[in-house]
Amino acid sequence: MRIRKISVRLPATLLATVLVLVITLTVLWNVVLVHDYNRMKALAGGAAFHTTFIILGSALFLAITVLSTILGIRLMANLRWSQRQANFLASVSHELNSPLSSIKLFTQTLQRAGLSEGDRARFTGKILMDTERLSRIVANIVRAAEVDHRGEDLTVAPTEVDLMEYLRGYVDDARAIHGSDLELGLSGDEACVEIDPLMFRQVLDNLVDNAVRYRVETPARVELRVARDGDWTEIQVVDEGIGVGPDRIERIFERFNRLEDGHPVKGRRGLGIGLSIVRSIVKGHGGTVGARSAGPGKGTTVWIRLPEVRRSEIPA
Amino acid sequence: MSRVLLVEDDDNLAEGLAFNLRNIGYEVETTGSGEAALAATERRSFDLVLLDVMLPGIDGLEVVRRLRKAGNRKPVLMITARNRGDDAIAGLDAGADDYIVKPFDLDEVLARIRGALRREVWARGEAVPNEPGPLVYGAWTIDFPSFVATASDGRVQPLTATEAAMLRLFARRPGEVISRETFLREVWGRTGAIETRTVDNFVRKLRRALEPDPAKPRHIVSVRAAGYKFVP
Repeated sequence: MRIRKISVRLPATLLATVLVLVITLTVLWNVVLVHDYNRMKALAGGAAFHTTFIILGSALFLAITVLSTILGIRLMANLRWSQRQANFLASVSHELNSPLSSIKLFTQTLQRAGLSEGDRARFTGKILMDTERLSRIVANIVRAAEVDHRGEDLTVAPTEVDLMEYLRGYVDDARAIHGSDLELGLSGDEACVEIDPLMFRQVLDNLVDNAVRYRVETPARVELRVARDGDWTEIQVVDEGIGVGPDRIERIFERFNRLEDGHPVKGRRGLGIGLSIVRSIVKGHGGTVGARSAGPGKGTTVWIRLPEVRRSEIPA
Repeated sequence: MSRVLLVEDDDNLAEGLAFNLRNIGYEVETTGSGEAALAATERRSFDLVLLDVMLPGIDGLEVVRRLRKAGNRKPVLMITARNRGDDAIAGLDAGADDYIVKPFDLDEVLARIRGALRREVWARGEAVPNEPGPLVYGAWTIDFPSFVATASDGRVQPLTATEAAMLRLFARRPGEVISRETFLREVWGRTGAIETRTVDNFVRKLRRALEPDPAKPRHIVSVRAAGYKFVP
């Protein structure tokens, strides 16, 4: 799918040209004035007027330079944002169309006579898998719209949850959804947290989806780990995937910031909103989120820190 | 048995399409990227390429462009997403013969594939042995079995099956106005939802290739609100 490129090069070139012109003009203008100033010194009153003129003029030039620089930078930032949004729309179209086409195709295939029981079961499984995929994409788009509408203050309805039990349930679901693409493990300490179970499910879905999408080998080996640290409970999603370079790791939670920008890899398309949603939801829970990676090819660990709920604090 | 190359990076979609194509007797090879598709066509020949536009790496448009540049004239069907009308036109411009819009109907895909394969046979004239020989008009001599147009000054212009099939329809009805719907029915084997811009696109291509001045066509003439007319 092609996106008409919104070029940043033209405004960047124009800005550079304007700056060079302004600076050249300032220098030349000052040379002339200083030259005149020396001659005018002889005339009574002329020099004072000239000094004011030099100061005022230089200030104006400086203001023009600063303003055009700010204008240019803002313009380029906006253009980049438009480009990312255009990419996002193209991705939405693709991400929704692929599972839809697949569901339609397998449904029509099932309607045909002469399929073996094995084929029927396999195709029904594919339809379910694509329906799941579709509903997760829709959930992400809706959540992104909610974040846009309300800022980062998502309405969270937290309840006290036995974290390990919650994660065990999630692991079973995720294994069913990703099938042979995923080998998911769970380890760590028992802990109690206050989360919105439905919303938090989206956090785990997005993190595990990413681990599967950016896998190096099939199945993707992913481990969920829980560790308690003082007043905090940390959940880690550890994968052995393609990893992230140190220059990118800080920015992966930004919206539309995608690892494969410019270098799409088979099956690794997405919308570029998953991790930004993770961050919004975790913030909504009063937690923090971050990632570390030993570098490209060396896997990624995303950690989420949530305030611990002490059982003793909970009224009976 | 016709051999189909299926280029689709969505595993489920590829599996579903390949299953159905094999089920009705096609030999199918699937690849998930543009690079792999080009490599596959260099390794062996395919009777038809079914090609998704949005692919990782080299996209579908570039694949079809490179195939045509390398002299591959086999039918190429593009798969594009709905609401991406630009892609369909860009695909035809790049050298594809037809396009299918996602989410597609299985029956429609199979019909389009059959149509494209039939067109190839029909355009070569193998199915209709009593047709006249090469078509001669202007500076050009069109040899249908080889899909090659040769100019009087020795220039050679290879044609795709679809281009040859259009010329063949023109050649059979010189001076007669042929509607876009007739082209779609006769050349693409399509009825029902009519997308006439496909025809316009191929007329533009033929003019670019064969008219002395494509901007002022002398042989393939537009007839307002009716269609096109061939003036030998």
